[in-house]
Amino acid sequence: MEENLLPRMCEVVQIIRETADVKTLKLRFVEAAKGGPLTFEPGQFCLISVLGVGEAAFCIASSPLDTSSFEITVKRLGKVTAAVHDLEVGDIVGFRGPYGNSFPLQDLEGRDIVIAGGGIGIAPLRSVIHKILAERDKYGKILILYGARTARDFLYRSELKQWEDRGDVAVVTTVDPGGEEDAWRAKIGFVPTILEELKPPGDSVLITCGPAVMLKVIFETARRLGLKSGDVITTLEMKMSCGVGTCGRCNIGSVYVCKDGPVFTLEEIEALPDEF
Amino acid sequence: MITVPDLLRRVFEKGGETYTIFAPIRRDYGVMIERVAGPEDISLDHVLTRNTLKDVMLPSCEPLARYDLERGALEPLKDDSGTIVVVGTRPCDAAAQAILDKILGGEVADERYMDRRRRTVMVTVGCSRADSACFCTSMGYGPHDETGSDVLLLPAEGGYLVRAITDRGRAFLSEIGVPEDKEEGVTPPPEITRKATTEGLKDWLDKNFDHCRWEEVSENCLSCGICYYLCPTCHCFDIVDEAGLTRGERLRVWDSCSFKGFTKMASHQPRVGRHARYRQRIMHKFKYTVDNVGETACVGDGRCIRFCPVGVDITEILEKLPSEEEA
Repeated sequence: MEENLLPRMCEVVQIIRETADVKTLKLRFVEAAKGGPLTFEPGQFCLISVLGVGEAAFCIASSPLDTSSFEITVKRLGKVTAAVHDLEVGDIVGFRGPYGNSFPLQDLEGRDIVIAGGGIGIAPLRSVIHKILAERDKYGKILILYGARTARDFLYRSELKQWEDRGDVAVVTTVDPGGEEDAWRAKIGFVPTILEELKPPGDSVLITCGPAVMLKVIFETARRLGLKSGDVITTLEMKMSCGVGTCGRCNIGSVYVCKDGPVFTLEEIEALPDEF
Repeated sequence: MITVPDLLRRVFEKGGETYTIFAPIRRDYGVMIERVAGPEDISLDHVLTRNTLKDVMLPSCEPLARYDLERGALEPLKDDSGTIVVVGTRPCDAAAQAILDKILGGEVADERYMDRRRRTVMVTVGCSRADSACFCTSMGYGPHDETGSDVLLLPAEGGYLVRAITDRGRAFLSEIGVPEDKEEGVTPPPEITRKATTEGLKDWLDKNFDHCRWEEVSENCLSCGICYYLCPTCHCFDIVDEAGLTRGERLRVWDSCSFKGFTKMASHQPRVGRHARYRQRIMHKFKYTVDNVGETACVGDGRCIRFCPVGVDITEILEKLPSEEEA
């Protein structure tokens, strides 16, 4: 019997404090020989557990090209995320996955791509960005639009700087109105507003992730910009227990986000009830 | 021809030491399918057991692993119950198991459940009586239906006629030395008076996620979850940790879409309102499972009708939902 509801154990090898309430944890399998390296595609997720506290779903936020270790980025919000924040280097966590589908990057070769992330929604997009930038020649124009609540809430700051410095990627950052500080020189406005302002051509692909409320607005924006609903791609978040389609929790209509997603096109989402 | 106590006696003679045997026994609060210690315990004078085979196949609270918090080491807990023999379940509960096999044995199978199912011999006893809440015939089953059973005992004058339904059932009968009966003479099944109309229901559900009737039909629901606990096909679960200072366990526990916390995340709640939770229950049974595995997740056992504290009646609701013009 192969038990698929039990985790493999990982060691926390590095903790990066991104902001006041967000940390990135680098993890590595304890029994590397048994667990092997982690191969995954951008967009896939995992279930991370803190023994004695519980398990929760997180996207894998690191580059899929680095298989020796992987990273999750966690905002302190509930019980499990608080326990993850309390971990120290050397502590052990449980890992199940990688689960779910991924962003169809091979289908997007040659296309202009807009990557729009809001808040902690930049985490799954980071994995996409790493993959795309590693194969930069395969794609057309790349625009990264990243919005945070305040100027202090941006994650992956050093990478953001590297992306800006490359010269072959446009990077636009924005803060929610009221979240700016004196030294803030970039955009002020919600992500959908700034996206509309930037007016990407109608044949662009939009890869986006953010809170459900942002997604619903950005879908409207995408429609107004004339983007095809099959070219608007996002990843959805629902509460999950099993991760493999049996616990009955993460469905939107007949679709299970864990096994049929988490990556969906707007075209697919339009066929689902509004319950996410 | 055999009696149920006689058959159970044979089961104990052959495998009392090695089989894990479940049968209906009478408790103060009703008849329950439970692990039995001997053939004398069985109850025969009930229509349905209070609990379902979920208690056997997908227990309400099952430790998956235990761990040591200091060392961070996790030890999986195996279920080594060997051959599981269930004697005396009803056709509706056996049919429910066949539905769960499709749901939990899909693309990524629930190995713990499927492993148990592969080790199970289901000896079903056809019904001689029905009560007013039974509506199995409306769901495509019946008091003598064989779906999900390995062996079916059908009531006849003076005992039960033994029918092997599957190869596993046939092998089991020869193992315990009980011959199959070929002869006719089955007592006619009891009449099932309650009807549920499902004609046009799936079509209506496909189109009416946002219909105002959901509020109306769920008005009395308390979201108590009893229908989930007693339903033989409801299978949603949660995975939780329970730990002390140094040791703990990871458990799989039942969980119901009736409860607000079922879909609540720290960040947001996608399913808001009692009507939305009740809609999920009906949609999951009569649309989503049909879309995904081609089965309706209801066998018409009627427990949800018998035990709902406020009289919510699923057969009335199934009739009401598609009945009128759209509002």
